[in-house]
Amino acid sequence: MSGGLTIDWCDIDRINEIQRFIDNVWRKNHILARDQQLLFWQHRFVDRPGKLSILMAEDVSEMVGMLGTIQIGFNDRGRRQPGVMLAIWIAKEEYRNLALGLRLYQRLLDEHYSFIGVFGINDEVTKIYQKMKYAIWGRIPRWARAFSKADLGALLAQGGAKYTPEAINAWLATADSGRSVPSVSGVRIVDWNPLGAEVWNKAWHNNFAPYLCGTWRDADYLQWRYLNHPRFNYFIRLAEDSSNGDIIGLFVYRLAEIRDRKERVMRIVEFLGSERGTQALAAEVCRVAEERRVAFADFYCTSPRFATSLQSVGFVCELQQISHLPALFEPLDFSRPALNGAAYVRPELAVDSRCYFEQPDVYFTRSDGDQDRPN
Amino acid sequence: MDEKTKERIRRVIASTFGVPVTQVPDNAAAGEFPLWTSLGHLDLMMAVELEFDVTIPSDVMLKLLSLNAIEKYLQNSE
Repeated sequence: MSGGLTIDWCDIDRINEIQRFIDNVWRKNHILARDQQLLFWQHRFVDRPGKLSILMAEDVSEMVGMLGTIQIGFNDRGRRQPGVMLAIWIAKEEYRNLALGLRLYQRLLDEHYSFIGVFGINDEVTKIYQKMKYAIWGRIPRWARAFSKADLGALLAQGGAKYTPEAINAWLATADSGRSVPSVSGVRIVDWNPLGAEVWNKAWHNNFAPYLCGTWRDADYLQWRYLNHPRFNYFIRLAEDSSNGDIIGLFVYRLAEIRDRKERVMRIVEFLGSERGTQALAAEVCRVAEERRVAFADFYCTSPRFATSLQSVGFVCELQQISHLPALFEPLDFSRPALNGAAYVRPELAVDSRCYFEQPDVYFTRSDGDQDRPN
Repeated sequence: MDEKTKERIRRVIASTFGVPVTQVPDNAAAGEFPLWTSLGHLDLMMAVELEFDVTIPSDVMLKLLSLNAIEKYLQNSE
């Protein structure tokens, strides 16, 4: 190991170096190498002005490795804890036999985060997390439902031999199974503006956080993650109990366009609330999906209980289907494996992270981490 | 920690990284062998756990990047 090796948080004014490093060492033309605004947004560092949330390893003055983090709060059933999601983790080839990757990680641990999570990892990296005693989600469940049969049929036809007629019909049938959407009385669907932040924070603290485990989804988080996203347009809908104004549900989605095609897909990235709240929101999902004529809608979530109301309007768990739907649309890609992930909490929260994340109130979705982003 | 234990650690390092025991010096550390990569280090930690019947917390694993550090850790956890 060179005596000149240092690892520290990267200064904002070195963002160009980070982009060059990603391009040269990680992947040519990677989105974060091309899109500085997206990189800056993803790695903002509220607690350290002037820094990016990227650990940079330098040997004398040459950049030799990086570990990108997304700074979040972690909700330990109502208690906010410091947490991070990991993004790009790279060490230059010639530094790998110096365990530089682990040294970057070790530097991260010095910051005493209570939670570390990561989504969308390859098989090789999964082995590392397994050995570090992380809880592993080999395949995060995905629920989906067809809306426009014509558009979904046209889309699946692009998959060629991947889809038998039986597999296509099984997906198309989900459009029919959800035809009768139950109405829910006494619940209004409201937009985020103008009072979203205030009412959501009250609801988050009282009605949501104590019963969940996952990202701390207060108004600041929703504002940053969805409303301030530099490339995607997300829509936030809240379910409000008409009798007292309480917020009893949250639904966030975006409409994904498919490159060079006319079909579109609804990607649901938040769906949680009380039984009445989510039932009303499930009806809203159907209303929007039909109005916008989406081919299908999907929702990834670590725990099945959060998809119950979606299932009641025809969504099915992909694991129970003969084939899986495409998950990437820029361009349309049928080959990518399912979304996976890994998570760790410090021993102060749980002696064994694997047991901790087996609980049914663990709520992570596709928008946690760095997965719901342009390619 | 007696010499016998130190020898056991050297043997574990040697077998994990596929080198003769005689090539594992007393001050062996990450970077000593081509296979002592990040993944290789975690393999070494699992091998140490098996050999000494201990459970090493994952945040501690990352600090045990040398034979001496492993020895010290085992000493303290006795």
